[in-house]
Amino acid sequence: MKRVLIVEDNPALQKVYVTLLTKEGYDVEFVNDGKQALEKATAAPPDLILLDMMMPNLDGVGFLRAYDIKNKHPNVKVMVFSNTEVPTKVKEAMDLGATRYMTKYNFTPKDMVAAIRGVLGG
Amino acid sequence: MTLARRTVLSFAWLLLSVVLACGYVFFGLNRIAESQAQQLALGAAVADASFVDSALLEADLLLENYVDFHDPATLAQIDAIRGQSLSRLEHLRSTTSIKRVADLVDAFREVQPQRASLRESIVDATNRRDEKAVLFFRQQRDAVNRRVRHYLRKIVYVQNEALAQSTTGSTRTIQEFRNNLVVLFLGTLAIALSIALAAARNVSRRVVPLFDMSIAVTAGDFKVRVPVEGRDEVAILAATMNDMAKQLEELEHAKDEFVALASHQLRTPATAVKANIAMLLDGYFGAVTAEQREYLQDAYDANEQQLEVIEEMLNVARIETGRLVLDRAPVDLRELAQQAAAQHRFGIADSGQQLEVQVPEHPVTLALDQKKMRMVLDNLVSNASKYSDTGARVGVRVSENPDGASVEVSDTGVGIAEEEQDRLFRKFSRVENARSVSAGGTGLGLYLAREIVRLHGGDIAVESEPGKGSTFRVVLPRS
Repeated sequence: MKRVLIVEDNPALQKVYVTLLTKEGYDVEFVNDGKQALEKATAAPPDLILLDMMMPNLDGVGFLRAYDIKNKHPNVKVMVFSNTEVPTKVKEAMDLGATRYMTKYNFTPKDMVAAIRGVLGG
Repeated sequence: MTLARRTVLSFAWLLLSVVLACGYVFFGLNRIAESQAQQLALGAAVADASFVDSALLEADLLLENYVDFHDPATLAQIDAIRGQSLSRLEHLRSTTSIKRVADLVDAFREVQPQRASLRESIVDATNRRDEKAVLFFRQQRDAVNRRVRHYLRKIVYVQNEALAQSTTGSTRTIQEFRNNLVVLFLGTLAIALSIALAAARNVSRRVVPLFDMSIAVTAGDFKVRVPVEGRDEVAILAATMNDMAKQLEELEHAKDEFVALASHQLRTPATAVKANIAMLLDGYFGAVTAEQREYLQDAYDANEQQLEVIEEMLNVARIETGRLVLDRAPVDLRELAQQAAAQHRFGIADSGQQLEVQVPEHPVTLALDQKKMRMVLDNLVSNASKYSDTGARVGVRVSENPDGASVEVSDTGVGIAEEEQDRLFRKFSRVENARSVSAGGTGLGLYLAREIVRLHGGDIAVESEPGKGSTFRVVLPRS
């Protein structure tokens, strides 16, 4: 069972992601911000991190910079799932090792599941 | 210096010039009067000398008469003439300012006793009937008279000479005065004019930018500022207008910030609503009945519409704050047009309308922001259907030209009156008709479409005739 860490500060979205991915058969854990994500993902690196950008304490870019996928966690995939689509933010996230960058508002649960399958390869 | 001070200064300068000119005129007229008086005096002296001259002649004639006729009355006449001419001579001596004339008068007076005694001798000789003696004294008296005459003519000559000189001098003075007056007048006029002109030009030079600024601010450009020069009313106005524009800019910025923040905050819950409904519709929580599906779908569609409005508001906020950045990549314009048409295919069919798509056979590749250009075409196709009745034809045509490419979205719908065509692309403007009221929308679509196309270096134009339909042409340059 693939392990997915959901990083999302909005409770409603958090609940949707957890329910959806649990039903889709993933081992799901969740945290509320980048700081908690850093602790959890460092202690036990998951297969996939679903990362929001605008969060309190430590935001998405801050997390990516601290987590250092390229050098420290090459096997962890990160999908950014955000409502922010400022081109500089997107580029920064991709440069810091994110696998995909998607906007929440124009994705359906089905699209999301398909994207996750694509990233995790099955 | 304030405008009021500047005006007072130029007025004071003018006043000073006028006072100076008046002073000069007074001075000149005074000089002319003086030389007139001098000429009068010279003329009077000439008259005195001439009088004495003719009096001498008359006295001599009277003396001849006495010699011939012995009439004692003649002697009294001679005395009267003598008295008159002596008083005129005194007058001349006392009034002349010329030394030579005074000398001549003195010389005349020196000879006078001799003349008088010769006269007495002639009278005596006549009374004695001594013709020889009469002849002798007359000859002597003629000699004296010639000297006296010589003095008098000399006096007249000197006086006339002085008069001529004085007249020439005063004529020259008058001419000089006239010339100076013309120069003074023209100079004063030129200086006053240039002061007034400089002041006027200074004001107008600095008012023109204020005028331009007010036009720019009225047109919605709050970044414009004018230079503040000096401390006069124009400078105060400029500073005030700069403050006003700054406050408008801050207000506009605050509004944009608010729209951006509000839109972002609205997006998150709407996204959660969408995900929840989608999960229900997708059967994650068990099968849904047909009736449940219908209502869930209505909720989903309404939520989508809301997300679309939020997206439009966000884009407007981005455009207004200059944060809408294009993410350009080579795109086949045919595909974008076909996708936009396909998106609305069912809606168009549901409205009983026909859709026609015409594209070239070869790819029409341009560097475009795919997502945003798609939004533009979606909006145009959606409008074409929205503002047309059942049975209308909606056309999408892509064509290529040497400078780039264009997409024409046409309809055979209600059309747009010419006076409304200008308003079409403004923010929150909507063409009113029965279908548009039910059609919904924010009135931001065409505004955004034009801004996005313009960011690509292109433009959107509309051709329309009420009752016949409209054609929106998106022209895109090859970048």
